Amino acid sequence: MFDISSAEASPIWRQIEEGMRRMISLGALAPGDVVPSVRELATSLRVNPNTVARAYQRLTDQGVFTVRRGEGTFVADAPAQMKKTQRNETLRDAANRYAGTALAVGASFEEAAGELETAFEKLTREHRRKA
Amino acid sequence: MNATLSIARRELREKTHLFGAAAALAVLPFLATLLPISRSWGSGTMVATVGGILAVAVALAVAIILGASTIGRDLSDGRLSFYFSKPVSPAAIWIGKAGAAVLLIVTTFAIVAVPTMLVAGLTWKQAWSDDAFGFFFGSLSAALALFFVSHVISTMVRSRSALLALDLLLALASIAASVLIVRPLIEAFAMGLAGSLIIAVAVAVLLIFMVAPVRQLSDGRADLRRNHAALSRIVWPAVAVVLLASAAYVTWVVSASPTDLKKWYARTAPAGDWLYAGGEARGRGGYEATFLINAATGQSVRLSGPPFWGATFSRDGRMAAYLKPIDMMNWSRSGAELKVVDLAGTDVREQATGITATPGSFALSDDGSRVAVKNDENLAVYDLATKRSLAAVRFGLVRGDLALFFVTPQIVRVLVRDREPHNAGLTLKVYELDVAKRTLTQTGQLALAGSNGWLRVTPGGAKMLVATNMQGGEAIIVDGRTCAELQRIPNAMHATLLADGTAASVVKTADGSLHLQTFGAASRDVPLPRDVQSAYVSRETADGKVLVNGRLGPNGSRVLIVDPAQGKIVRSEEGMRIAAYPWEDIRVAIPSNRVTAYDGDGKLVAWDVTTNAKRVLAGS
Amino acid sequence: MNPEAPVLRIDNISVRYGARTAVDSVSLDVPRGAVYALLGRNGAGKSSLVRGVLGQLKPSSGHVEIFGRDIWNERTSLMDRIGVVPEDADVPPEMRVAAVADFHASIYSRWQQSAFDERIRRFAIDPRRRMRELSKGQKKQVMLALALAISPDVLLLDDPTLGLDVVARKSLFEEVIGEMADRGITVLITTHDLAAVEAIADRVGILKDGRLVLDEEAETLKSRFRRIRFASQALALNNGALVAASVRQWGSGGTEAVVSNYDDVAFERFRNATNLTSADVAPMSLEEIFIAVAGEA
Repeated sequence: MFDISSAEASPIWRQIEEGMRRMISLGALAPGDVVPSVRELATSLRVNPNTVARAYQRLTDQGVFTVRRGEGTFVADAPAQMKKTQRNETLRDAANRYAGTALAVGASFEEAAGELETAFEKLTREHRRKA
Repeated sequence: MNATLSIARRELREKTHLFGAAAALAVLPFLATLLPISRSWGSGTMVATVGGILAVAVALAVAIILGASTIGRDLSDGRLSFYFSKPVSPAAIWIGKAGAAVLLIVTTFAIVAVPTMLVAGLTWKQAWSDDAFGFFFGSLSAALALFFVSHVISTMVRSRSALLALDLLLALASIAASVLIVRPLIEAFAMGLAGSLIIAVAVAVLLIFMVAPVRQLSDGRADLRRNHAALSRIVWPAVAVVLLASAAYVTWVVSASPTDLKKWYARTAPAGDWLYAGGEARGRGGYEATFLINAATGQSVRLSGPPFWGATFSRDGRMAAYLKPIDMMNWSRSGAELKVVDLAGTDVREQATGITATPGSFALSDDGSRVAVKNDENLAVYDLATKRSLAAVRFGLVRGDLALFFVTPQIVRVLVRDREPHNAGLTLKVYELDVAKRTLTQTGQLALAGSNGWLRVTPGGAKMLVATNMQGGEAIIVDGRTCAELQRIPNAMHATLLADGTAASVVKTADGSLHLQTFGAASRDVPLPRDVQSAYVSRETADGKVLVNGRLGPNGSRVLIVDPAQGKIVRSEEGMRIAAYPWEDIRVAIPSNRVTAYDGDGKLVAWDVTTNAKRVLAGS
Repeated sequence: MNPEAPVLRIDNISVRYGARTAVDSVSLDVPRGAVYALLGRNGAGKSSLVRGVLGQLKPSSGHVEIFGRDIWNERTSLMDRIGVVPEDADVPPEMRVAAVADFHASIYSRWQQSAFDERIRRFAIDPRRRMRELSKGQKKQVMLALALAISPDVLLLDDPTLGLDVVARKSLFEEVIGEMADRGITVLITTHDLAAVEAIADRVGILKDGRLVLDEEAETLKSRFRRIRFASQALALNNGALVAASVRQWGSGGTEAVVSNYDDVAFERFRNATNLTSADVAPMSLEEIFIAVAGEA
C-alpha cells in the first residue's frame, strides 16, 4: 500500500487519490480488483473515513473506480487512461512543484533531473516486486 | 425509574462490606454474655442492652458516614461525572443513592438488633421499651435524619469555598431566628405549642434537606463548588420560608385579641373601668393571652407576661401591676419582674420596674404610687416613680400563705397564715410595717380552726372576716389589726364583708334551703330560690344592693340582686355570673353599679346592674 | 431535523469562575459526521468547555446545542446518544469491568453488549478485573469500549491519548475510525497531541486563554501555513503580501518565518522583490501550526 504523510503539503484526500492511481498504474491493483473498503483503508491509514470516501468519490467520478451496488468498489475494467489534457496538467503541476523545490534549495537542472530519474526507477522497481 | 434502581443497586453493591461489618458486630452482644458482669445482669438483659446500644450506634455511624460520602466523595474525587455523562436525571442519582443509603442504615440496624431481640425476647422489651416499634422507629428516624443532615454539611464543608462562612452565618442566624420565633410562645407559657412548633420546623427543615439535593445536583451537576452553591441557594431560602411561615404563625397566634378568646378568666379593678382578662385563644394550639381591658371603652392592652400569673390594681383603679418571669425557660428559679401599667395616662402600656417579686406577694398602695414586695426573707416598699426602696425589713421565711396591703401609704399590713411547728395547726399572724420608721411589728394573732378558708378585709383595714373552711362552717369577724374577736357567723357556706364593715353570708338551713343573711343596721334573712344549689356574695352596688352569684347546676348560673334594706331579691339575671376579684387583693371591692360578668353565652361583658346595659369585652 | 444543521453547536459561551474567565465567548459548529479537533494547552479552558458541552456545567452565558437541543436543559435524554471518553476515567475504582458494562446496559437504550465484549477482547482486557487494577491505557480502552457500545451519534474524546503508549493510541484511533466509517458518528476530540489527530480531523479549533483563536478546516489550515527559511536577515514578507505569524532567527544570520497565507504566486512575488535566491519552503504539521499560533507551552 502507500503511506500518508501529514507533513506533505498536499491534502490527504489527494495523497490517497494519487496513491491509488499509482498503484493501478504500476499494476498493484488490476482492473476488476476489489478496492479496500473505506473502513479498511481509513483504519489502516488511520485517517478520517470521510477523507477516504472523498478520494474514492473523485476516483469513481473520473472512471478509475466503479461501484457495484451491494458488492463494493472495484478498479474499473478499462482503467480509464486519464484524458491526455488532464494527465498533462497533473504532470505539469507536479513538475512545477518539484522545480520550485529544486530551485529553492539551489539545485542545478542536472541534479534535479538525476533525482527524478532515480525516484522513477525506484518506484517502478518496488511495484514490480510487490506485484 | 430504571436508572434510579440501577444506581441504587450499584450503590448497594459497592457498600456490601457494611453488611459484613454489621454482621460481625451483631456477634458482640452475645460475646458480652461471657463477661462476668453478665451473671448479675442476666444474659438476656446483657444481650438486649448491648444489642440495643450497638444497633443504634451502628445505625447512627452508618448514617453519618453515608451522608458524608454518598455524594460528597464522588464530588471531591471528581467522579460524579460518571453519572452526569449518562442519561440519568439528578433526581434519579439522588433518589438512587439516598434510597440505597436508607436501606443500608435500616438493614445494618436490623442485622445487629433483630438477633438480640429474637434471643432476648421479652427481656428486650423490659430493657428498652414496651414499645419495640417505637424504639425501632425512634432510633431509625434519628439515624435517617442524620443521614440527610450529614449530606448537607459534608457538601458544604467539602467544597472549602468561602461560601461556607456564609452558610455558618446563616445557620447561626436560623437558630437565633428560631429562638426568637419560639420565644413569644414560651413567654406566654404555651410550652406545648412551642414544642409542636419546634418539631414542625425541624421536620420542615429535614424535608428541605431531603429534597434540596435534587436541586443541588440539577444545578451543580458534577462540580463540587457549584453543588455547594446550588445547595445553599435552595436550602437557605427554603429555611427562610419555613422560618418566615413560623414567624407569621407565631405573630398570628400572639396577635390574639380579646375577641379571639374562647376560655378565659377576668379580674376586675376595685374601682374604675379596667379589668385584667386572659385565656385560651381560639384555634391557636392552646395559646393563652392576657390583656388589660377597659370595660367602658373596650380598649385593650396586651400584656407580655404569661397568663394569669399574679396581677393586681391599685384601689383607685389607676394603676395595674403584674408579674413577668425574668427567664421563661427557667422561671421557677429566675423569679419574676414586677411590671406596672399606668391606666390613668394617655399612653397605656407596660413599664418595667426592675423590682423582682413572686406571685401573691406584692401589693400596690391605694394611689398606686408605691409597691410593697415580700421577697425571700425581706419585705420592702418601693416608690414606683423613682424605683427607690423606701423601706426594707427582714421578715423571715413564710411557710404558708401571705397577703399584704397598704392601710395608709405609710403602713403596710401583712397577713401570714403560717403552719406552726410540731403540727400544732395554723396561726394567722398580723404585722405592720411602718415605712417612715422602717419597723416591723406584730399586731395580732389568731389560731385557726380549719386548714383552708379565706380572708376579707374592709377597705380601711379595720375589720377582717376569717373563714376557716371552704366547705362552709363558722366565720369570724375580728379586728383587722389586733385579731380581737367581734362577731361569729355560724353555718356560713360563704361569708364576706360589705363596705360598711357589716357581714353578708350565705347559710344553709336545716331543711337544706339557702338563705342570704345580712347583719347591717337590721339583720335580714332572704331565702334564695330552691333551684340555686350554691351561692356566694360577690359584691355590692353603689346603691346598696348585694350581688349574689348563684349556681344552678353544672352549667347554669344566675345573679340575684338583693336589697338588704327591703330584705328581698329585687331582680334575677339568668345566665349571668359576676367575675371574680384579683386574689392578690383581700380587701372587699368598692361598691359600684358597673361590674364585669360572664353572660349566658360565656362572653365577658361590662354590665351596668341598674340599667342592665351589657357590652361584650371578650369572647365572640 | 435538518441534515445540514450542525450536530453540535457551541453558541457564544463563556464560563466564569468568580473574576476568572475560563472560557471567553466561544462559538463553533461541528457538522454531522465530522471530526472536530479542539486543541488547547492545559489551562486554556478546555475542561470547562468540555463540561459545558456535556451539560455538566452551566455556562455563565451562551449555550450549547446538540441535535438542536439545549444540552443543559435536556442533558438527561441527550446523553443517551453521546459517548464520552473522559480525560480521567470516572468509573468507581472498585467496580469490575463487567459490572460497569451491566450498569451501562441498564441505563442506555441502545447498548450493544456484543460490541462491548468484542472490543474488550480485542483490547485483551479481562472483564473480571476491577477498574483500579487496570493500567491507564486499559482504563481508556474500557471507557472507549463503553462509549462506543452505547451506539452513540456523538462521541466526545477528552484528551484520549494522554498517557497512552503508541500501540494503545493506534488501536484507540482504529476503533474510532471504524465506528465513524460504520455509523457516521460525529466526533469532538480535545487534545494537545496533534500528531495523533492530524490525519482524522476535519476541522481544527485552537483554544488559547479561553478564546477560540482559530477555527478552520484542517485542509485549508494546512494549505495556507508554510515555514520559510532563508539564509539572510529578516526580509519584508509583505513584499509578496505574505503575512508572517512568527519570524525568528534561524542558525547564524538566517531567518525562519511562519507564513499564514501562503500561496506560490505570493511567494514568487516575495522572492522576486527581495532577490532571494535560495529559500526552504516547508509545509507544516498541525502541531507546528499550533505552536506557531498558540505559542510554546
